[in-house]
Amino acid sequence: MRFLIFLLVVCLAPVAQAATGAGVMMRDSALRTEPNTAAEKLEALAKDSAVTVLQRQGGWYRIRSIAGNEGWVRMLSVRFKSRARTGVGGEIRTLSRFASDDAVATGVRGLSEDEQGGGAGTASLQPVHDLRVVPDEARQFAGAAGLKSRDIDYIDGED
Amino acid sequence: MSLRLLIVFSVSLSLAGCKSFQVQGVDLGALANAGKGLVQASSGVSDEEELVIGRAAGEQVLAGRPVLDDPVLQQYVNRVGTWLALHSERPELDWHFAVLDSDDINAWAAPGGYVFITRGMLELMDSEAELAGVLAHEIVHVLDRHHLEAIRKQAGLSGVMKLGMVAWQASQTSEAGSGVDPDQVAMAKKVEESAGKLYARGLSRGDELDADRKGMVIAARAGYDPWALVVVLQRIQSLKADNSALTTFFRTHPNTGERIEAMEPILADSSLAEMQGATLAERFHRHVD
Repeated sequence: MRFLIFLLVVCLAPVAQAATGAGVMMRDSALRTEPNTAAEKLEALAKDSAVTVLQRQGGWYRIRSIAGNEGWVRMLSVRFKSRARTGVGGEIRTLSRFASDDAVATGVRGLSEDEQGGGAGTASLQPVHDLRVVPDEARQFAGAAGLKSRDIDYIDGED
Repeated sequence: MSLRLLIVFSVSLSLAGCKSFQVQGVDLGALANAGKGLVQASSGVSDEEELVIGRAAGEQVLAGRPVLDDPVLQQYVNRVGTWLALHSERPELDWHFAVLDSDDINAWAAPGGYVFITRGMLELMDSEAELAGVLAHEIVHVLDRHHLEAIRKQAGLSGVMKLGMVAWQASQTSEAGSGVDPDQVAMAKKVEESAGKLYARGLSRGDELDADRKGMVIAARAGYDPWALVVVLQRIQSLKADNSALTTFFRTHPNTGERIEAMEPILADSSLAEMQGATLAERFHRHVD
């Protein structure tokens, strides 16, 4: 099955690529030359205008506008409308079971509680307890990939 | 709470340190230790009580969703999760992470340090940073005791002590079975029902947005690209709303677009705005693909 999915991904990738980064601006935004707010403005993008997402860097997407300009917008200002799955660098993976359309999640809270996922009753946590990793193992694992701790405060904000 | 329960609780406090002292199938030693923690806990709920409630809640999450039989993947997810938890305010908890064998796209937390993520959610991801973002979000629910507070509200119990008692009773009734005060059993059931409703309906919008914001910071502290969580949310946003793999996710979480909208005014000019970090896509795909 995994191999089948892999084949699907490989075969569909070139097709998906075209639609991949298809997104829509969620609000009026400035298209900038660099991924920071101090950078020069290239173009004023209106809310609902279509863009093609090419790449991500931190909280910014590099996009191409309808006018053909390439620059950076904040990722929180973009909504994807394609069926594609976008990766970290804008690469695409498409799985048939994730077929999608332009629909935005509307939220379906409040359905019957009888429909909750999972079966009734309970199951033992023992298999979960058996999986525990000790902190030193986690530190070693992080170090192997070059992950380094950073001192960052929480961000205040109102919900 | 009956007067008798209060008396039992008082007695148990004086027995703190006793290993086992059974009355009608009730282990006063265990209760006493929980009571000792209650006094020490700044949050009002002791770690012991939290763990009892967490285990009951975790067992509900596991019902119908078996733990995936893939030791290498489970170890990987536990290593990422434990590394993240070391950058939280509760590194001392016994954190447990588990991948559940389900096509659904979802993740849950339970009090005491339990975090669950589905195989379907993992298959939606493209990097370790994305995994870290989702696990860190769930870690915040544990840090801030979101489920405990919600259960307490839903159960209509006013006192912290009652919650601890009921939690402890819930654990005892499921094991001992009989010989327990019917009032206590009724309260235990009330908490169980509340936990069930909570996992069916999800936490409050405020708790979820809080977990998004704080989770991004925890991921960043651990060296990951904090914005990977937003990538996951945007990917979910682009999927069809009636996708059966997302039914439970959409029922138990705020509207995904709304979550992303809510981040904008808070994060756009924050310390995270231009922050980057490790994505580790290759290591992720060595374990997931």
